[in-house]
Amino acid sequence: MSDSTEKIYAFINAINKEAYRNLQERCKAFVPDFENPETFNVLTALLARQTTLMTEMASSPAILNGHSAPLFLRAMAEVHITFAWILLDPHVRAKQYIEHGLGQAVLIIERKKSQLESANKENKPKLEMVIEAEEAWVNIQKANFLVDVNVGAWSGENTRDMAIEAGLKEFYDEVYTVFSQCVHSTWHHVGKYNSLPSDSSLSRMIWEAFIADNSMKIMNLHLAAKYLDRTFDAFDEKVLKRPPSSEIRTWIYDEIQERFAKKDTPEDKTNE
Amino acid sequence: MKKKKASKKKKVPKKKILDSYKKVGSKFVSPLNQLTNMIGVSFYRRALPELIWWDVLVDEVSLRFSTTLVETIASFLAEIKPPLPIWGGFISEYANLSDETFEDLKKHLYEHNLLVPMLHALDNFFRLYPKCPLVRFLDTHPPEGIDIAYLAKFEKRLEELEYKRSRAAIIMQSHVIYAGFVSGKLNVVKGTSLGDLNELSNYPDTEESKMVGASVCSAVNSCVYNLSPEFKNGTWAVYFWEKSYEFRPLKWEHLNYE
Repeated sequence: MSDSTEKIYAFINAINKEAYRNLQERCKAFVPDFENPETFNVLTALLARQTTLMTEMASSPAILNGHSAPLFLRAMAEVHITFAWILLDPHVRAKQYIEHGLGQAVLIIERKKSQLESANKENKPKLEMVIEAEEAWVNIQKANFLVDVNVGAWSGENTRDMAIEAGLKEFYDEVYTVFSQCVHSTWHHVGKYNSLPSDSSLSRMIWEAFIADNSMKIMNLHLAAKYLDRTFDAFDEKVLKRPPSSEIRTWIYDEIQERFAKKDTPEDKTNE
Repeated sequence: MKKKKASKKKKVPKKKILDSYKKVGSKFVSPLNQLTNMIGVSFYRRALPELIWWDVLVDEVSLRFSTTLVETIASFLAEIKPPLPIWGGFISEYANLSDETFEDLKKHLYEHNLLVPMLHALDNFFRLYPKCPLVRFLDTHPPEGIDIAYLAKFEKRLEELEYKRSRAAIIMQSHVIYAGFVSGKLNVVKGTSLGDLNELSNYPDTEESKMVGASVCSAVNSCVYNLSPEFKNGTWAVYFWEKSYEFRPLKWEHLNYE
């Protein structure tokens, strides 16, 4: 392994460690309420989800480009909106969030059961195993025959309305909507990253399919860290009732300076 | 050339997904939720803490003892006038008994040689959960100091009880059904599986016992919520889980990134 590759791996390791440490510290500080355990379960799980998305990005430098990073960043934006919206009425909304998830599991189970009727000998045992595992997951939370299936939005609202209610309209417009273009492969994204007008004015009517530069942009890592900070900070303020204290983005910035910035050499100083 | 007639196979119409569910807006309501206004009571969260003392008694003494005890308590409570809306199977019910009734019950159990062995069997349980409504049976404050070995054993049994169809959980739940029969507050049609609690001694080895077990589960589930106001508030259940968490708090060590 070259020196620079080793340095990158060490850096990734340090980022993950810092993110996990922040998550762990918050989970430890949150005292569960046994009258409403769903609130604890959902909020800590969403913190863990946000941390996962950020650390997965950090661990895969190759995806820190305009093609792939928005897939993660949009997911992180949605986690943040979901999280902030639940925080407005945590006991009710955490239950609602779980109910919807259980309903999705029941729907999947029903679909698999339907496939089972026409499955061949080879696939049948595999399908049965999937059904059994999924049913067990539902049943430890709620008897599956009591679960309703909601095929609409889990919150009953669209993401925009959730964001507005949570005071995140600007965040929705500037982050969620922008990165959604990549997620949905709209022309806004595809027309920039996978198509461009021909070089010649004679054939400019036709755009060429291409794959835009996929080099790593460190800004994407900064954004991921920023959104993780936002979610941790919301948790600090609304749940732990303390001033927001997540500084992962700043920490990453400082670490980059420390680890990768070109150090002044005597020669550089002479040149000055 | 004559064309061969294709044999006509009757196609069995494929069952639609969520066929038995009722669509209301974007929601498909489950068949059971269409029938009743059932409030889902979690067995693990609410019923288990209410019934766990029966498992402790079975484990520490015997099933014969716990059965005699529940029978004695239920028949005593059934005699009280005006009738009390309790069966004597759930721990929270003991928080609602008046001092006078409680003292009478205590005396009754003492006279039947049940009080002392019961308290002896529950000693370690009281040490774990000193605010359990059953500590009213004690003349003094609940004992202090936790036996670590007992805690480990208790944790292991709880693991089995989590699964409401496990043998231990079915036996535990059957006590409240038996209390309902003894007090005359629960009646079943002759010949129905719920009436044959004795078959549970074979649980889960016979088909019959499995049917009785399933009936016990559903009966407990359907009546549990309405039994007492204290139970509705869930005070004991919440305390039980809070205290249990104190014994085994989450340490979050799995979030130490290596």
